[in-house]
Amino acid sequence: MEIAERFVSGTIVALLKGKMEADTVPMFERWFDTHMESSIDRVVLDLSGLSYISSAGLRAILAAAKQLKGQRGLAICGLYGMVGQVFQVSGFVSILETYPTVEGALQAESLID
Amino acid sequence: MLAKIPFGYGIIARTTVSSLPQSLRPLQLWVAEFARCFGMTGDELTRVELVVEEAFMSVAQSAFEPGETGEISFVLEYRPGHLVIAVEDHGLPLDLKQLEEHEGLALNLLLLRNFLDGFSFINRGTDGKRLELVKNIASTSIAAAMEGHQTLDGEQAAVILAEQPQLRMLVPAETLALAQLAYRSYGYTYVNDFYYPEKIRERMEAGLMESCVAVSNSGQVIAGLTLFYDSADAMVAECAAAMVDPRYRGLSLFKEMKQFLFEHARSKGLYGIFSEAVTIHPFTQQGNLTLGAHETGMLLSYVSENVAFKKIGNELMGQRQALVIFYYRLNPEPQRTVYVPPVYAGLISRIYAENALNRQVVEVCEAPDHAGVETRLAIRIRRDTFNDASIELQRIGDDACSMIMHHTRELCEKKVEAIYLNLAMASREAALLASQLAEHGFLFSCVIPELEDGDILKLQYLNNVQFDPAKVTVVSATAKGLLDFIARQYRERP
Repeated sequence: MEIAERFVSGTIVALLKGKMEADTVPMFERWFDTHMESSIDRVVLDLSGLSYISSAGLRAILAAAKQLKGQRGLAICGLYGMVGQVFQVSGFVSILETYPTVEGALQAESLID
Repeated sequence: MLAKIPFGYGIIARTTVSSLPQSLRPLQLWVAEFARCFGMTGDELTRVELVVEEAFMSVAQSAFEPGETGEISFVLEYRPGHLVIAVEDHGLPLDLKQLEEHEGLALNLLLLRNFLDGFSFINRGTDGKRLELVKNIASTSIAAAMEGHQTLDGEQAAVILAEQPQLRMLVPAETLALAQLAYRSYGYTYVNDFYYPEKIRERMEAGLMESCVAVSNSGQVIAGLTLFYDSADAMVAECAAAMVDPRYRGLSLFKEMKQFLFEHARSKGLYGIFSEAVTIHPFTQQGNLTLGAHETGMLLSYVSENVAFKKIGNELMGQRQALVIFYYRLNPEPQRTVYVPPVYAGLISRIYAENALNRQVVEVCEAPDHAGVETRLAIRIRRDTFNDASIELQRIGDDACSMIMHHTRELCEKKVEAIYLNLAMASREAALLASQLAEHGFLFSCVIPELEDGDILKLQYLNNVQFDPAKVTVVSATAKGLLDFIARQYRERP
């Protein structure tokens, strides 16, 4: 899995590519912990580059969302194909903040502001 | 099109790995390469990798103590129409409910259930546990080819045949014709896999089904009736899946095909054929009695795999309904001693006498001590239309009754409406178990002679399903006696 990040108006937008599975989840967790240490309070995860996600990946994203609870939060976008199906059947689309696109997530953020 | 599969039926591969997470990726690749041989590509392969990960992680986290590692075996098995990925371990004993309640595993199981075509958990006692993950092998439905065609209503499009149709056995190369007949007869409302010619062909070639067809003088398949076998060497078959093109109804094709199939089965040396008859009208039962079949029991609330959702007059098939089970004896079967519980001894003796079966019936009030023997069973749930479950008993121990009731309660909590249990009548322990289960609400269902290398006593358990015997039509005195017996058991159940 690869993580390509950029900053947009104080929000980290991270494009995840490849497979988010038991083997690669620790890499995501380390990346996220690093940003938590630098007091980031809003993260947008763009999953459009993921070809695979398992329950291990879902748990890692849920744990990240919990850490940002009470702050500006974590948003998910780019849920397509098998990754979108996993989010649907697990019910995660209804418990996480999800948007079709990164732009949608950023616009929602500006409305919240 | 179905891929050319380079394996015969049965186990095709087995590997054992450490439960450490590092084993996962090689294991996924190993399974995926085999899945490729079954024609799976793209998203389908991704789903295979996902279920392998979820199953591996579930077992690795639940079967061993924290910090402990063990071994997990993956077994790949090719069954007609399915690739089965079995995951076996010898770790901590758990049942499915404990697995579901295991902290952190609910999500794994949720994904497994949603990305698989079948899922079962088998407790093998001292031999450990086995999860069976079933993936259907893709095949081509005739849907695309038939698009735009209308199903025909018999009254609108009746035809007159110049000659009598020819009856013969269908050959595997003709399965498309049978699939098209299913469409013409029922549209896309048939319950089972009849719309997939490759699946029919696979099952025929595996010796699990064979069909008699009526062919018009222009060569068109206009009716069909099928024998289903539990295994290729089964000595009895189920006769079902009657289909008659609506334009050719009223020509007694069903009765003629049934006689033809009975003669075919007799010449093959089968001991007998069993079949289901509906109870919302008397005609099917009358037809079976005329042919010489006899009743062996009833299913009170069943949705058959081999009936269609079709409406003929007031008959709405495919709903839960009571069915009468008939047996047609074809050839002399071996003389057998069967063990029965006292509660069913009279009833079963009458069934054997009615069917002229050569049986010595022995009542069992106590079974030999088998302390230390653990019960082994498997549970198979059919959701959607059926919403029923079968408990398959592989070994009977002292704990059999309590284990079965434990799983029955679990199934009831999951809102499964009907639960079935087959007991081998060659077993004293099974007869004793039937007595015990009668006190816990399991009802008599039927006897199926020679089903599994001997006779089977089938029991049924209804979960919040109302059964009204007044709405059940039976024809013979035998069926009336069966209905009265089971209805009394139903009323008096705890």
